[in-house]
Amino acid sequence: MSGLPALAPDSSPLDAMAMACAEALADCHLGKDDIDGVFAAGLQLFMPTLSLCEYLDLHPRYTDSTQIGGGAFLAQLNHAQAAIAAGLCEVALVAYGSTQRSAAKQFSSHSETNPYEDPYRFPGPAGGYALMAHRHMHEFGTTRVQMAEVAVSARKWAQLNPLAPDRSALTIDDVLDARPVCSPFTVRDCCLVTDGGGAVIVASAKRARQYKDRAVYILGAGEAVSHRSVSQMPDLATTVARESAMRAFSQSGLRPGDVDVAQLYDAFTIMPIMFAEDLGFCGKGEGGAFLAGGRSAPGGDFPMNTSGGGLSFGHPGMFGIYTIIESVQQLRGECGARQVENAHVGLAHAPGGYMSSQSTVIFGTASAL
Amino acid sequence: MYQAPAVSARRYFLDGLAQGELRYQFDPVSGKAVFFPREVAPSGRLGGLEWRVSKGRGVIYSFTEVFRRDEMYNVVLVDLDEGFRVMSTIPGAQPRSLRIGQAVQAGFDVCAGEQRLVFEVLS
Repeated sequence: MSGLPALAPDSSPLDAMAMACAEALADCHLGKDDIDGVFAAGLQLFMPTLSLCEYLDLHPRYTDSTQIGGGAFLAQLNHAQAAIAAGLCEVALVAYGSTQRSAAKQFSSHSETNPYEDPYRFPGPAGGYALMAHRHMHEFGTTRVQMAEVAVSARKWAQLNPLAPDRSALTIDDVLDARPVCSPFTVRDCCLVTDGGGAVIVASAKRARQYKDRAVYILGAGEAVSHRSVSQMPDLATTVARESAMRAFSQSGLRPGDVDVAQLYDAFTIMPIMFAEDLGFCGKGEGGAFLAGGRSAPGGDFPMNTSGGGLSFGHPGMFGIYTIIESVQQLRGECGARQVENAHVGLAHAPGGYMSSQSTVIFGTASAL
Repeated sequence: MYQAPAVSARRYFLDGLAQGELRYQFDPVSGKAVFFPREVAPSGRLGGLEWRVSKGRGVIYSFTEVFRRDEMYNVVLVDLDEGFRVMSTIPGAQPRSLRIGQAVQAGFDVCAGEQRLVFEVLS
C-alpha cells in the first residue's frame, strides 16, 4: 500500500505504484530480479505496465494491462495464475497507483503528459522515431536512400493489393523530396493515417480440427519490454526485438532463415531496418543494405510487409492486428496478386510506444508443424 | 507502512529549475545517476536516492528538427557528463547545424510561464 490519502504535490501515479511495489518486494523477500511477469492498470497512465517497468528497470517476459475498471486486478490475478500455470512467467507483480486527489483527476489519453518532454513540444511518434533514425545513421552509416527504399518497396506491394488506398508509383526521389516532417523524415517516411479495424479468432488446434484446411497455427510467440518514453530508451539504435524474437524462435524451434514471409511493423521507414537486424535476418547495422536493391519488394527473396504495410496500406494508430491478418492470409494462399509462393512460415513483429515493447509471433501452415 | 515524503521528487527538481539548477538523483547502490526524478530507486528500494546538482556539461546523443507550417524547432537528447540523459532543445541553433556528439552546456529559459532546461552548443 502507498500514500493514502494523498501524496505530496507533483507526485505521479507511478510514484504511488512504485512505492507499493517496493513495500511488496520488501515484504515477500523475493528480489526485484525474480519478477518476470508484470500486470498493471490505472486511470492516469496510458501504458501502465511499460511506465512501471521503465520506473523500476524491469524487463519481464510477460505483461498484461487489462483495463476493465476497478476489478481489473482480480482479473489480472486470474490471468497471472494462468500464465504461471502455462509456464509463461514464474513471478508476477500486479500493481496499481493513482494521484487522483493531488493531481485533480487527470485522465489518460494518447497524449498523456510527460513533464520532462512536454516543455519541448516533442512531436510524439514521428519525433521519437526520427531521433532513433539519426542515431542509427550516426552509428551504422544508414542512409536516407536506404530508408526511402523501404517506402518504395512497401508501395510496390500496395500496388498488388486492391484494398490499398494509393497505388500510384513511388520513387526514391519522391520520398526524399516530399515535405519534411521531423528530420530525417519526410511525409513519405511516415505511415498513412487512416481509420481501420481488425479482429482474429484463436482456438486450440483440437478445436480447430474441423477447419484444418484453413487453419494457421501459432508456432511460437515472445514478448519483451524495455522502457516507456524515448528519453529513457537505453540505446536508440538497438531494440529488445532481439529478445522477443529469441523467445518466439526458441518456442517454435525455428530460425530466421525458416521464415518465408515477414510483417515487420512499418510506421516509419527506419523501423523495418532496425527490425531486420534485431530479429536476426541480417547483422546489426546492416539493415539498410539488406532491405535495399529490391530484396524486400515483390520478387525479392525477403518478402516483407506484403499488404503494403503501414507505409502504403494503412495505419489507424495501432497496426499490429494487420501483421497477424496478413500473415494468416499469406499462409492460407488467399493473397492473389501479392501472394508469396510456397509460404509456410510467417513472422509478425510489432513494437509499442517508442520501441518500448516488442512482440513477435511465428505462424505456420499444417505442413510446418 | 511507508510514509510518503513531504516534498515530491518532481517538486524538488522543479524548484531546482526555478533556481537555475539541474538537480538529478544518484543511486549509491548501483553507482549510477538516475533521471527522471522518482521516489523509488531502480533497485526497488524505497528512498536511498541522493540529490546532486549537475555541472550542465554534456553531448548531443541525438536530435531532430521539427517542421511546422511557419516554424522549425529542434528537439535533442543530451547525455550529461554525470551519466544521465535528458530531452531538451537548443533555441539558438541554426537549421541543419546540429550534429550528434557536439558538446553542449545547460542553461534555462522560460516557456509557458515555467522555467525549463535548455542547452547551447559550445564552439
